[in-house]
Amino acid sequence: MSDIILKGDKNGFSVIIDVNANYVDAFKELKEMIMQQNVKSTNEDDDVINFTVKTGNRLLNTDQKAAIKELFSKYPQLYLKDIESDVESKIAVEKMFNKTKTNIESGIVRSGQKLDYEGDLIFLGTLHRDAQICTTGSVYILGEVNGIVQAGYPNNTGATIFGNLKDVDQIRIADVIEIVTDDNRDDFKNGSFAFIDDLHSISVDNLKNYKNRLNDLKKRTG
Amino acid sequence: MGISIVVTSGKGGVGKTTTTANVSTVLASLGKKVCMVDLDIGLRNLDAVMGLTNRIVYDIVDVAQHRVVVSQALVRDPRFEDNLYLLAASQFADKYVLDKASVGSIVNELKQRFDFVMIDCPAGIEYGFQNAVSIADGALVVTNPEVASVSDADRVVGILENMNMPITPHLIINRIRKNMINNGTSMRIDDIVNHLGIPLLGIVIDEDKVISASNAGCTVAFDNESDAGRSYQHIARRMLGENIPLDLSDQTKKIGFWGRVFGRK
Repeated sequence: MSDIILKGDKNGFSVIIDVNANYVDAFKELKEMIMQQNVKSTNEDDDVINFTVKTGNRLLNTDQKAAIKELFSKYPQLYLKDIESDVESKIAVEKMFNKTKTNIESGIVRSGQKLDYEGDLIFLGTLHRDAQICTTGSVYILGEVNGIVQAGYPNNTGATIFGNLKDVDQIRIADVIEIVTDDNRDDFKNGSFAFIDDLHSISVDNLKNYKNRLNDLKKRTG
Repeated sequence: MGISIVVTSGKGGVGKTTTTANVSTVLASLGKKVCMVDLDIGLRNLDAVMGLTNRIVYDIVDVAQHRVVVSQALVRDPRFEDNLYLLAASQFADKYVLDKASVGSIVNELKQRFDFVMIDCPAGIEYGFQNAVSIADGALVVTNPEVASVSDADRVVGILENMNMPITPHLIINRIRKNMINNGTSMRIDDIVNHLGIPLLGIVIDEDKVISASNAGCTVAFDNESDAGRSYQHIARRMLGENIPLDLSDQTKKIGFWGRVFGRK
């Protein structure tokens, strides 16, 4: 039985490395196969052929990946699109997981403290003046906030800040900053939400209107 | 080209920030272009006393690290037309991100645009203090009529004199307690002035209104009922060269004492 299987479809060729095979043997076989392939293809004046290497339940380390890339780079007729695996390392999974997780923060954030999160944030604590909470996703405020609340850092304009916006000093979503002064303090009430509207500035509305606003935005921005 | 003036004291809690805020607002109301610079990195207060905390987006550390230019970081005080701006300190960074060179270039840039650059100095005589005083053209030394404060002020005056500033440091005696002066338990004003040996710019009575005003995010200087407010008005006007006798800061009933103190000078 062969260690590698070559399959072709309209997107080019896939090289599937058998998960039970010895990798050294499989790599040797891949080498030979490519040499043969190259002999065939250089005879014709053909387009570049795309290859995807699929490793199944095997995860290649960076050296192994580099070796495969180097192998393909020797043959200009053959282009390595990607090295795919069905599995992912725990570290990478954790990173992906963190991006979408929901953080819960209680307790007091004091002047001069800045708390950074990835994902969404449910804020149950108290945010003092001159303090800051910052996350990549949305923020749900159930506690009291006096300082600066940043959602969607650094460029997620779809992030929203929900909940108790009374007494907040500054609202930041992505790159937009809204300063709360005596002129607009009345807009910021408990039970509201702040979002980036279609003019790319921050709007505040009552939570009751959230669904309508969301639909409106979708309609206009597509 | 304007001048930079550092407000310093050595000891904490004597009223540096309050003095900076009041003098700056009066100067602005008299038509001067004033920029307040808070150099108390990590323990900023000037913005809170001025009620401008919510408007701060960028601070002096962002400027020093070239993330923004100075004009982007200036916070305009809407109560004083286009005359009063604040460059806030950072509450998140620590003080070692600034050095004499970066503070110097920022202040020099501000001096091109403003008549007065008022620098609120951190307490102590260490790193932050050195940054603040090294680039100043002049200094206001704030002290209270108490031994600890005067001796710290003495130390500060010594350091300032060694720096040979273009303008000699001037003294402001703050938080004078009327009742203690009246019954003779306070340090005497003229003793303090003689001891420190620098020109006296003004004296300010300790008053509840000073605190209540800064709690409300405004300055006491525009409260016509307030003696302290009037004193700050006089200090600012003396800075502009007006000749206002010192004892005007206290026109109250019972005291012939002020006449005695200042008549002697």
